[in-house]
Amino acid sequence: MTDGAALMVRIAGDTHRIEMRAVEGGEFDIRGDARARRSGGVVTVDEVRSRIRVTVPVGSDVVVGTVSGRVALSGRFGHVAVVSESGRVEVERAESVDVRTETSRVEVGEVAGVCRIRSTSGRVEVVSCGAADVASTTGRVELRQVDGVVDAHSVSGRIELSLERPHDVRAETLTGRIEVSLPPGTVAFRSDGPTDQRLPPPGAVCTVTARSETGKVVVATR
Amino acid sequence: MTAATMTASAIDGTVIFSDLVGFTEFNGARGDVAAVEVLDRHRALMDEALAEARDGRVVKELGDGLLVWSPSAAAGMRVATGFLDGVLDARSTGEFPLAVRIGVHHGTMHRRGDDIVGQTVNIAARIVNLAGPGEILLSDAVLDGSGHLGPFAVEPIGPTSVKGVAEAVWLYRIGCSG
Repeated sequence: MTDGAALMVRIAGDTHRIEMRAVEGGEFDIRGDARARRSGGVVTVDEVRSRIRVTVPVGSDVVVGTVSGRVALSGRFGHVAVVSESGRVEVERAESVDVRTETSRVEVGEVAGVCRIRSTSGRVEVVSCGAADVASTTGRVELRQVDGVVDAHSVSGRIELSLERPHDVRAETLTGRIEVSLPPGTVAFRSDGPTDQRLPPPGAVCTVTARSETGKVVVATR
Repeated sequence: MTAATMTASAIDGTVIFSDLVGFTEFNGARGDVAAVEVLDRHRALMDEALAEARDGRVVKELGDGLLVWSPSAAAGMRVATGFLDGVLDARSTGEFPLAVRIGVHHGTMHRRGDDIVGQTVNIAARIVNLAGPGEILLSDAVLDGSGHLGPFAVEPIGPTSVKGVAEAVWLYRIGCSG
């Protein structure tokens, strides 16, 4: 393996904790009871029988599937995909993220590109990302510094999002509260939805569609 | 049941679950009449997709969801993508108020009267729980067998584990939010 060359690492876990660390100039290394096979730049890890600690080069792509084991990724990764039933998921930095879980809490740090998260009941927190495509049934969704188009969907969970620059936003809940914070001076077209026939106001630079059947909706500039 | 009859009831096929996102809360907010209208429209949109694909049937209605069977992965994906297209069209005009999420898996299952049972059905049910609004999640078994997926882009997601199934099931995504 070439020192420091980014890899594609695929892990099929079960109930055990999975810790990954992306290290500048690092090589693939695994500690714990699991089987690891390498083919070119792709490493496949399965038969995980204990907590594992995996080191990979910075920028590596990671795909993890687990049932209830906690997944914690520290350092800077490429594309990160995690499917988990109930284990908490933490990602420090990545180019893009796709996390799917039923009850896990999801904490994501900095994502340069698209951040896609699906959660049934777990809370979702993202520090910063490009475009965001986030859906939760009952969990609270908090997107702090978004710099891209936002699509946020919840049934009864609260949605809070803050944009770094003007972008189109579609936020929809049935009973949850929605709070959208736009950059200072942003003129946004507030659309009520797909059948809205109104014209955007002069100077509008983005469209915000925020709808809730019964929850309060707040769209404001900072 | 004898081994012979068990074998006779085994069928291959593609299982599609469609789930209405937020139906219970919608029912609470809009009332029973509106809820029944949504269920009827949901079913009608699936019937239209099945008629267009000319293969498959609704096995049963599951409260706010549908369980659909199709004889092949390719036919199943025609149904799923046609159905999602129909829902997105209806959503874009305000005709249909809720998003749907869809899970698709292919394999062997058993007939039980008009019903279907088995791990293939269980896996499809697990898959739909991981899908988001306006999204189709499909397994590698579906992708391997389906070939042409029309204008839809397929993105790999990752493996998911299902109780009682030794091998992880790899998931892929087709989607357009909404």
